[in-house]
Amino acid sequence: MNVAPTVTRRGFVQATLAAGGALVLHPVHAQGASTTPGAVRPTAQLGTMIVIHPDNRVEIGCRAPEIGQGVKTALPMMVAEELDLRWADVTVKQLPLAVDFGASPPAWRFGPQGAGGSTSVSDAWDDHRQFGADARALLVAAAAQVWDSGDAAPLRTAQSWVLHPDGRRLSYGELARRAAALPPLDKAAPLKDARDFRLIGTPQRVTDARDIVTGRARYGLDTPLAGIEAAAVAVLLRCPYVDGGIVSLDDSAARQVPGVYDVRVIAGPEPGAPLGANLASAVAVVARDTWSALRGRAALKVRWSTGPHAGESSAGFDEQCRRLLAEPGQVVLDQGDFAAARAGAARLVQASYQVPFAAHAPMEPPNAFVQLWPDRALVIAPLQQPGGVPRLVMNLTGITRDKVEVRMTRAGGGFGRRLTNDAVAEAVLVAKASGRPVKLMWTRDDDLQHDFYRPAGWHAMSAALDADRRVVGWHHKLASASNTTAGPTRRPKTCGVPSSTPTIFRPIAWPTCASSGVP
Amino acid sequence: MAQTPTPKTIRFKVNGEAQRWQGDGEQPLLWVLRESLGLTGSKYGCGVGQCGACTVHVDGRAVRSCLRPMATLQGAAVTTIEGLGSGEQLHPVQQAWIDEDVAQCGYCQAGQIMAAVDLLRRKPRPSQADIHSIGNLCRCGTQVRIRKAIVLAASRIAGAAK
Repeated sequence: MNVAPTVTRRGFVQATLAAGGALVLHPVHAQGASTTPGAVRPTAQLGTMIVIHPDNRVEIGCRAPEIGQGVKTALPMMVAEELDLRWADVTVKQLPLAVDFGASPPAWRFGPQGAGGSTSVSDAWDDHRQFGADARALLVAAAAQVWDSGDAAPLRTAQSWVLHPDGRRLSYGELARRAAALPPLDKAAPLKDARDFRLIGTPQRVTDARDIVTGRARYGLDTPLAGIEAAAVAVLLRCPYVDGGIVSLDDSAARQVPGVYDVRVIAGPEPGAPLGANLASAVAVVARDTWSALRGRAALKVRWSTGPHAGESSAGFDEQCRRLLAEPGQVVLDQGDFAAARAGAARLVQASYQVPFAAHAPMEPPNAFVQLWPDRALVIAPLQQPGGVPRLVMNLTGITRDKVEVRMTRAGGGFGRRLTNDAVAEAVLVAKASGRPVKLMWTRDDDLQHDFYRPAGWHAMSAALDADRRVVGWHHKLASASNTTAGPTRRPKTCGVPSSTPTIFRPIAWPTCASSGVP
Repeated sequence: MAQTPTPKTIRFKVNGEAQRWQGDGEQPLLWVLRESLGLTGSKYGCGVGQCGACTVHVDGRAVRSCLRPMATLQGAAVTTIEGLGSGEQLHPVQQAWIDEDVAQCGYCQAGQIMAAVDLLRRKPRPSQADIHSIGNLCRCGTQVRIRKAIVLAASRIAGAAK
């Protein structure tokens, strides 16, 4: 399910009136794989993106998870700009995951909802502004109706008001009822010229600032368990060996710790199989509260098998890299004549770099809350790829994807750690095994010792400089752990130069580039 | 880790309210705050006193609550981030934090603020070295704005004291 909605020139806004007189606006995305106009069909929206209250307060929904990158401020700003809202009257709500699994292929209701690759702002740039512009056009049409002119052309908008040239004005809130009754627009409203931006391009404070400084902001680990029957906290003792497992387990002392409810064994991934769920076999301690769970875990006696990779070591990895660097390698990019550039160079600069495995270490360790019923599930967690959660839950429980509710909390940092939903997988497995709603928590030790680490490797680089110290040739040879090791069925032996390579390196004799994947 | 055989009742105050607690005396204050009292503003970042996300005030001094056993809190007065302001009135450090737009993910910020308040009580006119002595970790990179907010708060507190 990865089809981003195609916002056609026929964008729609669906407007309804809520109890209390609030105007509720949804974007309607026309979606489909076909490029033939008219072959796309609009999907109905069931969630909210904008709520305009009669008193002119406005709530805007943010579809992307907020992980500290500021999308919960930036994305609503785009809507507010085109809608000409008074920003001080805007509050922002985090939208949950919303996917129409009835569509084929499944389709985002609000648009893409991941937070990765620094794409949230650029992904939203067109459709968020269009949504705001279309909503504005609807309100202007409503005002034109009130003023009996029917002619929207001379009307202006500012700070959540529609303004008549003769000085009359109507607030968006006052227009809610009438706007909700209008037929949908039949064409997309024009967007502002960038010169007319009043909000975009100005520094604005993060929308949750007050909640953060008062301790009210809620992260995944803050998900309350009070009032949830049988809810428990879980921590895992994970096998310290990749693809190792449990040889023996003595949980008698752990079960004696006050507050410990249960101890369960969680299977790890199949060695060699794509990593689709949790990343290690483990023993789960399920308890009344975090301290009991940690004490229970400390009382476990486990013997582990060291698995098929027991012979690996840092020294062995370095030796592998050194050997690979001595080989010709796989040429990824070869432009120009580096040998000639090197031969004619005034100066040659050479350096070798060793990059270690790096843990992401977000300030908030991985965690997830999962509650399972026979036919539905609830997941509350800090996530970067919420779109992957319904299938994950379905694979582990059989609950169909449309019955998996996913709520993204604020995340205490992401940095790519939360692009995998392995903590959710663990929480699902523990909830299933224990029969309880579970808040599963990683300690910092857990987080540093188990991760999808940024790959380690060796890089041998050399540059040829001319007499003016300009780079005229560049050679980069690397031997690195592959970031596809989590999915060994993917091709492990390719590497590429990103298209964003700085243009200062062109057009000169380009390097040979070698890469060898190291399992 | 043996539990104390007869847990005595710990009487202490949190944000001005009297509390009574019984349990494992080795349990760190952080978990009692977060789970027994529902005060989730103080955060778990490491559990070994290295990051400061759990910083609270005990009897007026900054303490890393993940390492403070409940057994040591008989008669103590604890202040958490939730108790820093009064009602809707923010502490000058909190207000400076908003005015300088310090937070990114925000997870470490409560601990940073508590550490900053403690610093300003001890050193109302802190030098850059004093500010640097706050050892709280931030993974997002708010350090520069933290320093600006502390300087701003210090000047406002000094101004109000006149």
